[in-house]
Order: sequence, then structure tokens, then C-alpha cells
Amino acid sequence: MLSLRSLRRAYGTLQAVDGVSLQVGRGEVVGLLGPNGAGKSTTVAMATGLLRPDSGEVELAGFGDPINPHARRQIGLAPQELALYSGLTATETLLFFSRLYGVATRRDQLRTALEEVGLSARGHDRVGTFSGGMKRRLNLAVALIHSPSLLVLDEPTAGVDPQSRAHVREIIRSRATAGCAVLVTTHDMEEAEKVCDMIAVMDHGVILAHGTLSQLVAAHGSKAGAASRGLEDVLLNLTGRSLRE
Amino acid sequence: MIQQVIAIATKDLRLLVRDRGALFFTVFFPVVIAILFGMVFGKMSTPNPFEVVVVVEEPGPLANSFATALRGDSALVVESAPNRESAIDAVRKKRVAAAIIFPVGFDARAETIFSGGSMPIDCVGDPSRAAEIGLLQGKLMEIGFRQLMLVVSDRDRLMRPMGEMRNQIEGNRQMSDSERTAVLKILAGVQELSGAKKGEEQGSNAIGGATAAFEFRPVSIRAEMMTSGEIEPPSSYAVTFPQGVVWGLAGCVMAFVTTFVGERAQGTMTRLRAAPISMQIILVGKALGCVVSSLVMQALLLTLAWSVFGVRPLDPWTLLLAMSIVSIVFTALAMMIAALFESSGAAEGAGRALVIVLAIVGGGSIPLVFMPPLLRTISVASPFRWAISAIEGPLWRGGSIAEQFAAMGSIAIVGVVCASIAIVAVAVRRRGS
Ligand SMILES: Nc1ncnc2c1ncn2[C@@H]1O[C@H](COP(=O)(O)OP(=O)(O)O)[C@@H](O)[C@H]1O
Ligand SMILES: [Mg+2]
Repeated sequence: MLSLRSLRRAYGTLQAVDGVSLQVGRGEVVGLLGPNGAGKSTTVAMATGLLRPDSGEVELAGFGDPINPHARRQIGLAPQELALYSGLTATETLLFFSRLYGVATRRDQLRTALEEVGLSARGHDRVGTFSGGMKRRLNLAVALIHSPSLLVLDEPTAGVDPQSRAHVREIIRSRATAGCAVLVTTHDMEEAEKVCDMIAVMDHGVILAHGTLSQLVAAHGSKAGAASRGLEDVLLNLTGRSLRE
Repeated sequence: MIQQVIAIATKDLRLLVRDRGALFFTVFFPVVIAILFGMVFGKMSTPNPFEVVVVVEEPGPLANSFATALRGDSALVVESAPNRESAIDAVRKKRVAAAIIFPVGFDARAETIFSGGSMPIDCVGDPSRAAEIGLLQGKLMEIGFRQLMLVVSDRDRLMRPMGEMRNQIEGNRQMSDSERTAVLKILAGVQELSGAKKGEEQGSNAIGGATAAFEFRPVSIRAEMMTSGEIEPPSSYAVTFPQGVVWGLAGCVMAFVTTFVGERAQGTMTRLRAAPISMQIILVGKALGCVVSSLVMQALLLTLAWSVFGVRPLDPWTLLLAMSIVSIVFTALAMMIAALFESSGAAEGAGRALVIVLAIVGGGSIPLVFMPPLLRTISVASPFRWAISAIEGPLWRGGSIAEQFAAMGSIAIVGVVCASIAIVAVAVRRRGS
């Protein structure tokens, strides 16, 4: 569904993304795992047409480069930074963004969408009154409202309680089951383990390893003798232990 | 496309209505300004003491004493002017209600008062004070009669024309004998009276009889009205509601800049840009919100002015056209400010300061019609001034279609300039990044 080919992007002298290639197929959840500053959000911005790569290509199967508006109709994006109007209610928020995608959303569809993220009781409350977890869930609901064929979620569970986190994971899995291609970034190993079919470990703008969880553990996990701690081991082995941004 | 534009505009308007601070500056504050200033200016224009300016073009005992009598009148505030031109100018500038000019030859003609002459006075008045000027003319007559006593009481002065007059009457073949006798009798009476005046205050009855017999008018006033060339607003509210519009427009511009900066701060700009719409659609949608909010604000203020304060627009449809143009132009101004100052909170503050300065200079503090010349000149640099000019025409000033369209054209040019600056600013920034 989505293919990224040798994407590069620099901010001044900083090479934020340095040759990233990645495929996300239909019904597949691909995790982009890496520490802060690895270049995940920059990759996401290029994948969703928000940022033009210095070089490389982004292609959405059948729709071309998402730098073109009509291709972006296929994408549902939940940005890392919450992107909501605190003056609107949850229902108004969903209605507004669905209109932007040219979708006529009926009342019952709005209700279903709110139910999906567990906000049906708060549909008529202003977003400004919501907790962090509720805002995260609404942020996700906005990405889902126009039934996109590609979901791009940038750290969808950052800073939320365990209940919300579990709920978000369920939603991701169910959307994938329904045939949606999902690209999700995270610096949380547990999340990558639980929700992703494929994991790409990224740091300093490059993908260091790519594969299923078991493939990664086999290739980059701790050697025999030490107790294997799964993906966390893989990540630390690949990216080192120095502190990040 | 249209659907998305409307969605963005509706969203912005909804957020504006829910933002108490923005609502205060776009609606509440302008209404308060309009009403408050309307009351204050209304008080100011209630008839102040009747001020006149006096010019004695050729000093002489009679002209001087007439002017002195005028100065002594408690109902008048009298100042002097060196010449006719400066006196008329004072009327034109509305510093005084009327100019009273004792022309060259006043004394000479006053002396021929019993041989058909009279005291000539030129009176140049402000037509907006016509009623008071009518009273002033009556007063001039009254003083004229009193001055007559002066002529009469000076025997030498009187005797010269009296002698001539007697000769003329006696030699007049067109008069009937009875007429001639009657007139000569009166003349004798006047001569007698002036003799008595010299000694003591007596015989005023005699002069009353004499004047009655002649239907005598000692003063001939040549009255003229001098319009200032400026049309007066029908009421102070006709001035202060456009002044309120200035602040409302400033509020709308700032609200727009705030929503723009807010989209970045809240991260929602990312969402808008990720949607399947071009940047142009986003801008047009936000601009539409700004146009609608400025138009609604103007309509609200001017409808209030009409319904409650009796400011009836001369031409409602042209007014609506002017309001629409003004709304679009101020949206362009808002876009310019957003493009120039959106980069950070500090820059946004600078943008706000600029809007407030432009509003003050452009008629927000002192209404355009009351501005001293220097400020009026400076105001040319403010788009707000041009907005007021465009609105005032169809609201109360009137004027030809050409004049009104010229005013709207001027404000439209301001809009084009703002839009161009905005486009250049965005292009320069794009190239920089
Ligand atoms: N707009 C920007 N301007 C300059 N540097 C940026 C910008 N956005 C991100 N960076 C830098 O690029 C690198 C990658 O950032 P990002 O893609 O956000 O990483 P991640 O999402 O993995 O934390 C970081 O070092 C970050 O500081
Ligand atoms: Mg990030």
C-alpha cells in the first residue's frame, strides 16, 4: 500500500532521515521503533505528504505521491503532537475533519466513531475539558473518521494511561484486520511487540534492522548466556546506551 | 472544494464565538466605544455660547461704538478679527457662528441716515446655526436703534444732514403739501429732541413717534451664509458607530491572526495540511471566516446605530457594498499581518501593536471628521481611515456615485497592497526555508 524508497531529509546540517526504505502492505501493521530524535516523525511527515523529501520517493499504491491532495484522501494521520481545537466538542471535531476529507458523516456514524474510541459519553463536551488520554483517543478517532486505507500513527500511545493504551492497540489491530495498512511509530518496545507484524528499528535517520519480532530477536538479541529480554535487548544492542534528546 | 472552504470558515467562526476574549474585542468593545463616544460628542455639540467675530474695516466713531455695543451684549461671545477674510474663514472652520463686518464707509453712510442712508452691516453666518443668526440680526437692529441715539444726540453731526434734508424736502415738487408739512414737523421734532438730549434724558417718546412714522430701519444687513464645504453628520452616533467599526475591524483582524497562529501552536495546521486540500483552500477558508466575521460585526453595529440611535443610512445597498469591500480588504490586511508576524508569539504581539496603532491613527480615537489637519494627513497611512471614508458616504455623507465609488476604490487599493505584501512575504519565507 505504502512504499518509501531511499528517503532523505536534512534540517540545515542535520541529516534527520538518511536513506529510509520501507513497505507497508494491506492489513499489515509496521512499527517504526527508535529512540527520540531517530527521525521517525520526519519519516512520517514525508510519508503523508507534509514534507517534501530532499531525495527519494513516496508512493501510495494506485494514488501516487501523497504530496498531491487527492492521494492524501487515502491516509489517516494521527500526529505525534495532539492536533485538536479545544473550543470544539468531540462531535464537532469529527464532523469538521470528515468534511475536510469530503465525507458526509451521518449522526450514527459519528456516534459509532466516538464509541470506537470510548468517548460516546463525552461527545458534546469541549475538547478543552478532556484528559490527556481522552485527547489521544480523539486524536486517533480523527485519523479514522474517513475510513482511510492507510493509517499513519505517530506515537499514538505517548503519555496515556494503560487502559487507553490497551484500547488504542485494539483499535489498531482491528483496523488492520479490516484490511487497513498501518504505519505506527513508537519508542515503546512493549507496544511494538504487541501490535506490530513487522518492526523497523531506526536511529540517526537510518533503519538498522527490519523484520518480525522473532527475526529481530534471533538476529540481534543478546547472545546465549545472558537472559534474553526480547526487543529491548535488540534495541539497546542496535542503538547503544547513550542518552537521547 | 467549496464544502471544505465552508467547513474551515464555519469552524473558525464557531471558535470565535466561543472565545470570550475575541468576542469582547470584535463586538462588545466596539459597541461600547460607539455608544459612549456618541454620548460624549453629543454633549459637546449642544449649542455652545453664541460666538461671533467682529471686523471694523474702517474705524470711525460710529463703527467703533457699534462694535463696542455688540461686545457688551451678554448673549454673545465676541472676538475680533483683523480683516474680512480671516473672519469668514473662522465661520467656515466653524470656530464661530457668524462674522459681523462693518464695511468701509460705515460712518459716512450712517451720517446720511436721515436722508435715506442706513448703517450697512455684512453678516456671514454658518447655515447650521441659522435660527440663532436670525436672532442676531434682530439684535443688530436693536443696537442700530440705540446707535441712532448717538447720531441724534450729537447736535453738530445732526444739524448738517438736517439742514440738507430740510432743503431737499422744501424743494421736492413731487411731495404733496400735506406730506411735506408732516415730514418737516417730524424733522423739527427730531431737532428739538436732540436739543433736549443734550441737557437731560427726555423726549424718547418723540423719537418713538418719529421712527414709527417712517418705518425707519437704521441698519441694513447684508446677510450671507457660508457653508464649511463639509457636510455635517446628522448626529454624533453617525460618527461614533463608524468609529466603533474601526475597533471591530481591529478585533476581527486580531482574531484572524490568532486563529492562524493558533493552528500552528495547536498542531492543527498539520492536520489541515494532511487533509486532501491545497494550502490555497485552507487560506481561502480561513479568509472567508474573517470576511464573514467582519461583515457581521459591521452589520451588527450599523443596525444598532439605525434601530436604536436613529442613524438611518442614506443608501443601504451602497452601504452594504462598502461594508463587503471593507470586510474583504481587512481580511487581506489580516493575512498580511499573519504572513509578516506569524512566526512567533513575540512577532504576533508586534502584529497586534501595529493593528492598534493603525486603528488609533485611522480614526479609532479621534473620529475622522474631528481630526486636526496634521492627524488627518497622517491618517492617510492607515487602512482604517479609508474604511471609514467608504462607509461614511452611503451612511450619512452622501455625495455622487463617482465620489462613493472613488472611496470604495481607494479602500480596495489598500486591500490589493496588503494582499500583495502578504503574498511576497510568504514567497520570501518559502524560499528561505
Ligand atoms: N523542523 C525541524 N527543524 C530542525 N530540526 C528538526 C526539525 N524537526 C526535527 N528535527 C530534528 O531532526 C531529528 C529527527 O527528528 P524527528 O523526526 O522528530 O525524530 P523522532 O520523531 O524519531 O523523535 C531530531 O534531531 C530533531 O531534533
Ligand atoms: Mg517523533
